[in-house]
Amino acid sequence: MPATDSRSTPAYAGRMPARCPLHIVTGKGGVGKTTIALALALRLSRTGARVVVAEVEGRGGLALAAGGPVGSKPAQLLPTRSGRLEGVQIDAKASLSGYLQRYYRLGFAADLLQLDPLVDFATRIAPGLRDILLIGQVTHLTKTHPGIDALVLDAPPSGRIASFLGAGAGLAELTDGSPIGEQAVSVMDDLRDPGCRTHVVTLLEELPVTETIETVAALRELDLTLGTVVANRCLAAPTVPDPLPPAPAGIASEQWSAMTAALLADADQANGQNAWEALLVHRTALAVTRVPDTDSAGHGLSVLADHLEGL
Amino acid sequence: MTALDLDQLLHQQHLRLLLCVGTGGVGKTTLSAALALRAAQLGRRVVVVTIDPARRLAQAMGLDGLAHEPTPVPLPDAAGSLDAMMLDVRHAFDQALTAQVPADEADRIRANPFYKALSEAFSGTQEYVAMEKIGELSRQAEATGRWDLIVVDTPPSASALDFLDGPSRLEALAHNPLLRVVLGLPRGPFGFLDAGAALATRALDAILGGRLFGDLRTFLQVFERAVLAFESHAAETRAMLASDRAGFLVVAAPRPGPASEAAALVERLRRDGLPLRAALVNQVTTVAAVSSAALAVAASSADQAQHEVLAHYGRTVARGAAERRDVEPLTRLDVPSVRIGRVPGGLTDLDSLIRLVGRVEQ
Repeated sequence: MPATDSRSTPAYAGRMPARCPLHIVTGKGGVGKTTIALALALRLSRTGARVVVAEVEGRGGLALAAGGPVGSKPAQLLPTRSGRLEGVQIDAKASLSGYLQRYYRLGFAADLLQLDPLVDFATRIAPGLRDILLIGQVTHLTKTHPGIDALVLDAPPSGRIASFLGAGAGLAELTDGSPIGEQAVSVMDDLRDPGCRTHVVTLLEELPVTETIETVAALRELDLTLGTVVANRCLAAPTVPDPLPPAPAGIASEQWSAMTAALLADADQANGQNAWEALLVHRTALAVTRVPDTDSAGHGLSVLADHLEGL
Repeated sequence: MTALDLDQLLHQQHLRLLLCVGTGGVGKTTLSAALALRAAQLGRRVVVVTIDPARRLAQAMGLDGLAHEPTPVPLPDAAGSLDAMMLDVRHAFDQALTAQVPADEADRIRANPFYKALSEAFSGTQEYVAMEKIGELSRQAEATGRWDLIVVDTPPSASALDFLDGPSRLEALAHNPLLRVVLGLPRGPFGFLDAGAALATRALDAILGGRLFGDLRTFLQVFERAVLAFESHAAETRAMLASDRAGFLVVAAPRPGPASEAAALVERLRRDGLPLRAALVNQVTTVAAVSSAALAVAASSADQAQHEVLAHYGRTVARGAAERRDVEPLTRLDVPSVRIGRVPGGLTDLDSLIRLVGRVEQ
């Protein structure tokens, strides 16, 4: 990518370590968030880049999409023609261990982690602590692996994304002065870096569109930079002959009316999608990138990546 | 995969509880409402518990206001009756937890940061509350005879298995030996944890800071009492879930992710000995059956306009075939199943809900 953006370089030169861009991908459950995160990573890797897709909370979607296990160290996820596409699992337990070692040099950290109760406890119950540890581990990856050119985060669903990404703000307030409070502040700084953008995946239907509008507003409230809204499973409007022709030879009239009814229903659905898209653009003032409903088998991911070219 | 007659299932008088489980986005809420409505038409006295329904669905069910208690849905022609309620997790959890403390302490607990986090963010809380609500409704049904069927839409979650695992996660937290150390409660037989627990307490104090650590202690004391109270009912609810009075319906969509999750859920229900009744494959593409010979005849004589319709039909057939491939992980498991067609234009009123059940393809 040509370095035409003058905002991003000088402001941080000498003050912060060089870091790679971070794309956070969220969306309502069931809209195809993981697939879009993978397609985006594939698109980014096409320039020859090494791109890592990170999954948090062990949801397993990434392993399912890639057809193989995803470990705690970045490793190849899918074969690509150019560049590299890797996956990594960000786990709260490992993040806590990393955190204790990085900031406390706690010799007993390893022993501590054998105490599952503690880990459960500290990472589940303390408000925002688990989220801070997970995000901290992700932003750590953007800074400390010079070989990584871009990081794509398959983030928690949109119902939880604002509390996930905003955990730092809340925790910083509760823990003013304590070590985790400082960590929380630095995590929020990292997320507000211009190199970090959040994309929201949606379907052009009532519930996902409503949730997307709410999510965008909540993310703006947190001062996070928004990327694009990706509308998944878009239908191309079929051509509907007017008037509808009579049944051709060989097709019974009952069958023919079922076939034309299906055509009209799909045309209706495509029109409905256009209306939801218009509402989305109007309410979020963001660009909507439409991607088609692809056959999930075979080269579907590559087709999706083609459509994300503008991101 | 054997086809299942949904009406026959809803007619079974000994069936008292129907749970729709599955991943997010597969239409659990809508299907729960449609099934409840159908059961009421068939003469059952039904209460449906939904979670976060779409606004139009809520309006259709007469739940536009915040109906946290069962509210009658007017059904003039139904042989039975239908009540509907929305489960407000925050509200229910609040009630359950603050019932354990004196009124003057309740406000302080509500302001406690740990309490807020647990009631809002902890995965397990929603499931716990849903389970508690199921128990409460069945006791009420038995006592008053107001309902003979409870239909439950389970909470949306990353993993469908959370519905089964969530409650025990919350309990495990309450019985956590470390937590007992922090509280200064008897520790049970795990004396060897003492050294580790002391380290843990030190680490927590260091990480969280003194103020938050103090808040934590206060919160945990209330939390422990509340979970113990929950547990007295939980065993009863679990026994009901495992009995033949209950039925689980696994809801899937014809896409690889949801289908694999549904398959995992079927296997899990079987392993746990829970009464799985059927898999509902929702949002499938319905394809009119036309022989390839007939299509060939048609194609040879079709004009431009007819070709457009035939081409669209071809794309629909391909899509249907891809969907069947995607749900194979589920079909392989030989579970009674029902395929339900996609509803064009979505659901707008009670009539379209009824049509949804009408779109069952055997």
